[in-house]
Amino acid sequence: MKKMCQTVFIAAAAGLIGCFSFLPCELHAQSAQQIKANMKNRAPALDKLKAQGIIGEGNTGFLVVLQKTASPDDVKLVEAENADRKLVYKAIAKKEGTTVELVGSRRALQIHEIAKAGTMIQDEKGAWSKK
Amino acid sequence: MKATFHTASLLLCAVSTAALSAGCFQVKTESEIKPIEVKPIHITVDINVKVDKALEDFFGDLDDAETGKTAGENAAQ
Repeated sequence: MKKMCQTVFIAAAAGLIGCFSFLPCELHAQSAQQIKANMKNRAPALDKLKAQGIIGEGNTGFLVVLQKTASPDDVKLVEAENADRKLVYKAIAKKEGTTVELVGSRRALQIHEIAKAGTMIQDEKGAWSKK
Repeated sequence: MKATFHTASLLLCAVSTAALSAGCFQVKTESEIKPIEVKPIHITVDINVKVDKALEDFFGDLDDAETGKTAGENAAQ
């Protein structure tokens, strides 16, 4: 009886751990509205870093840290933004039956169009330039 | 002799008609291949359009806020 209880407990714990580890990978774990709100909150800080040339907009649709002067908090901010972007790209890729890479590269073109003057931008060949 | 000549000219006519027809068929085959070569380009464009639309649907208001900010900053300067 004791052994059975132990087995059930272990199985339940493993199931819970499994659920929580997969949740962040799915877009529906976080609502689209929540992602948008997070992006909106990060925008002012990211804009500052872009204006200083510390980060830039890569050709894959993700932010890239360009200077070593970036603080750990700056890096964390970029990672959080990129993680949210990836969730959106993944969801769109799944919906349209294409790849995350294609969605990211299409988004990069849109970002480059709306980027503020002075933002570092990576072209399709991989070269960086100031807009 | 005259009959043989007549038969020969008829045969020649038949052979030329057959040759011309074969030529026509060849042209037709080429025109049928062309749309198959163009199709993948259409599909790629279609996917890009769909993806662009989906991206605009999600990021549209965020991008508007971003460009609105730029316009405001430019006006202040």
